[in-house]
Amino acid sequence: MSTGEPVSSTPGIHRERVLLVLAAIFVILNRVALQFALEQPWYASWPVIVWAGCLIASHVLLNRLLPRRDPIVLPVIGLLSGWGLTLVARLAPPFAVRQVIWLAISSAAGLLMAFLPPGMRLLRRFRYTWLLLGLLLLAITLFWGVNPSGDIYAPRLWLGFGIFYFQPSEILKLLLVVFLASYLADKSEIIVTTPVKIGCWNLPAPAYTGPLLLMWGFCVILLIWQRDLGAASLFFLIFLAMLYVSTGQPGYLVTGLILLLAAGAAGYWMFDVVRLRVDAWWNPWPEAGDRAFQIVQSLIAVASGGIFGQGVGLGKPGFIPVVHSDFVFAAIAEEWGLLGAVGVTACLAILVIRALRIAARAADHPFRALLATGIGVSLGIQSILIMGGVLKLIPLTGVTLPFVSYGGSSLLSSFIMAGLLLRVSDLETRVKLRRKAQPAVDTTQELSA
Amino acid sequence: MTSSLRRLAAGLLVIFAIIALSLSYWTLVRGVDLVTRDDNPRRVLAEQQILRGQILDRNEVVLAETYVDPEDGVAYRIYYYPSAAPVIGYYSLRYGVGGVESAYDDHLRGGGQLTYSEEILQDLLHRQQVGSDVQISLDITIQQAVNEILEGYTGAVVVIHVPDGQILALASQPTFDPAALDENWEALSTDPDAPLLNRATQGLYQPGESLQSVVLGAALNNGIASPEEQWRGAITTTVDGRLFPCAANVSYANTLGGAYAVGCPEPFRQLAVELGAHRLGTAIADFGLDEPPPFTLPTEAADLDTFSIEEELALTGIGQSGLTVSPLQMALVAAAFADHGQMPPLQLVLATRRSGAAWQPVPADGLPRGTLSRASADTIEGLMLRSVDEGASQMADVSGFTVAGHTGLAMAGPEGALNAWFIGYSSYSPDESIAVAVLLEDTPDASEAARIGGLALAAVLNAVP
Repeated sequence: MSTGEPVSSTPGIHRERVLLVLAAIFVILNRVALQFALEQPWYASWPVIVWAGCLIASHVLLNRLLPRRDPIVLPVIGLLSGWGLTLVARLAPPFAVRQVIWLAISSAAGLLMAFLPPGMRLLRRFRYTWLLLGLLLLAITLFWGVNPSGDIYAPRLWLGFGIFYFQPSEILKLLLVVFLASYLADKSEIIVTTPVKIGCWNLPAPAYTGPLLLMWGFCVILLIWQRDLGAASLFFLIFLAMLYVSTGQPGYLVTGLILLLAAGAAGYWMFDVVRLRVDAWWNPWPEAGDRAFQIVQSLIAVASGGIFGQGVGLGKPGFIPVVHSDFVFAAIAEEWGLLGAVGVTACLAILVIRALRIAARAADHPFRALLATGIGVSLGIQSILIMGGVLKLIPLTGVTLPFVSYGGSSLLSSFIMAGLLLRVSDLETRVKLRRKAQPAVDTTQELSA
Repeated sequence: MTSSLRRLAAGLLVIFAIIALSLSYWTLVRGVDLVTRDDNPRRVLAEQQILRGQILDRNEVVLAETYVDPEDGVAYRIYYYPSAAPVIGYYSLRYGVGGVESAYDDHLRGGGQLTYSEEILQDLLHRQQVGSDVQISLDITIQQAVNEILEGYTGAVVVIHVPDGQILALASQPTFDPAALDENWEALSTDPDAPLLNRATQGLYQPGESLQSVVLGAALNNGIASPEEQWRGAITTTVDGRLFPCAANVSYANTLGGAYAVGCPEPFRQLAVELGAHRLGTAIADFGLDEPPPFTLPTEAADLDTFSIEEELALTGIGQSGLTVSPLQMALVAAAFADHGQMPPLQLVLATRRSGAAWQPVPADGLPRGTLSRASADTIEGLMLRSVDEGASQMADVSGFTVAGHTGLAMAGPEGALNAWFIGYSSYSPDESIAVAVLLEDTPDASEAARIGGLALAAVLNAVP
């Protein structure tokens, strides 16, 4: 598609529209089925109308603002968020209203990204401001954080505003991606080209490895202070992936993963919460009634789904504690079966691949390329962390399943990311088209950057 | 940058593929183990949704059925006749199943009746699982009467219809109310009188003098004794230094047959020695006392590997060796004499029916078996009639009917406690009889057992049209 794309933008928009209609059919059919299964009154479905409204508004507005955007991203996040809304209505009905309000806010915030000027200087210029803002939010949480469940021993990762709770680490994640994209776009070349020789090894100069270690230290602090295993590992993995893409050196990835394992091992000995999670992952069966209750119940739920699932509203995923946020994937597996769960996995994989594709096409503009990479990697790794945790592939970390889980801050940051992604994709197609119009520019450069 | 992006994309795709494979692993490979785990709460919930079948008596009176609360769809099991508990058993989400509820659990739940495609359809549509009904041979009026007769005693009564071996009543006291099982489980399971134990089928007792029908029958069959044989010796004996008295309060017996009719032990101790281990052992096996009788409910029998008839020959003759028997086994012995030496198979479940379908008959539990020659069996019958007429079983008489019976005591436990046995029958038509066995724990007056046997027989005979 990268070479043969026509100048007219209609096919992309048309394609997006077809996919959106398919997503809407799926979501509405499921909502109707749920209505019957739970014997709810007809008006209980109003959130799905808001959802459809958000999608239509996004589609129409984006047709004007970003006519050359990637046609897959919006339908995929539409499908996932609609599915997620159905799940919240299914698993935690009182939260459905809150979730749909967040969905509207998030869609608006995502659309706002379309207004960013092509240079995205706002994001690039003030990178330290953004990072500091994020860290400030985090610091506030460290001191004034609460847990919506009211459990004083649970990690306090939220800031409360009346009935709404906000998780600053979600916004920090977003700001971190922007900061890293900006920082690495400027510095990655220097990091690679100025090595220090120690014996036979080429090591990067300390001035530039500094950030790596700093980042690692920052994540460890996050882990210690907040006992937020999920956010800590997620941040660090995003950082590693972006560093790898910007420098092209797998050594960072390997070293970083070793550091992560080391931190995990140290955490295992130092913190009960880490030990609990690791033990429950390694061998949950002896403690199925006690400390490993969640994970075992989650696997039972997955197994009870079979291939085709129990049907919307007909399974019993409610037996898994906090199913609507951490274990939403197990609920999908129970009610939509293997097919549904693999479908969600495929949707997320498609989203990640689309993001990385957009990044590859933006290779001439390291900032945009790294921004798209960071977004793709962030969504991808977050999905993998929680899906892997639910399926006992890795220790469970309490991150949300992007677009699907209940949680406003997560929805907000995910939609902003999607908005940025669409913005970048539109810009790159424009650049391409312009280049095609002026064949004098050397197109081989695109690949070598 | 493009190549590292490509590698990163490939790596992430591989991880997503692993997640999809892991999903398949948990659903397809480990699915069955996980779903059938005890801590899967869906099992209890699914169980609550099952419309379990009814249990009906021989006249189609409903004994147990399931009621579904229309509010929450939860099913409750209702038992109309607590007196039938030893047979019907119980159904509890917490404590499992017992009795017929357990033996026919699969039918009652509706398992195994659907074809594979029907089962898939039912699963897919979340249709309610509807169980089959089970008809048992009990007559609930007789069961209730027998249960009432036995109330206050610790023991068991089994009433069998001959020659088809159908159980008309099977009582065990003390018993329990299956409708209030969950509330009382703690008390029931720790009660020293073991109300949850079905004494009729699983209680093993010393047969004592009640084994005399088998011992004398073997001697008659082998031609080494006759009832008219004069007896001049002692009639009582001692076991472990304690006096083992006759069933009736007598001071002498003139003949072997006379000793049988009043249930005196000593002649049979000597008779067993005369018979020898082989012939006695064969007779015990012929009467099926060496193995649990094939039956719908779980049954027990003495473990003949733990003792040798040879070493305990004399004790076996008086029923005080390692050979223990259940009331159900003794009821079969009575039934064998009622049918001239032919022992019927047992039958408890008569038929089953799928919801909306016709009754499908169920065969008896096993086959009839021969025990003694007709002549020997009829000779014993004569002695049994004499026992009711003028021996230890006089209390078993039922006015208007001819009752044959034999009463015996058995020494139980080191404290010298005595259990009372009665086996007997009454033929109410040329080829139909009612056989009964009674066991009363800790009852030194053997005529009590005869009295209860007579009352049980009367309850049936008076109900026969």
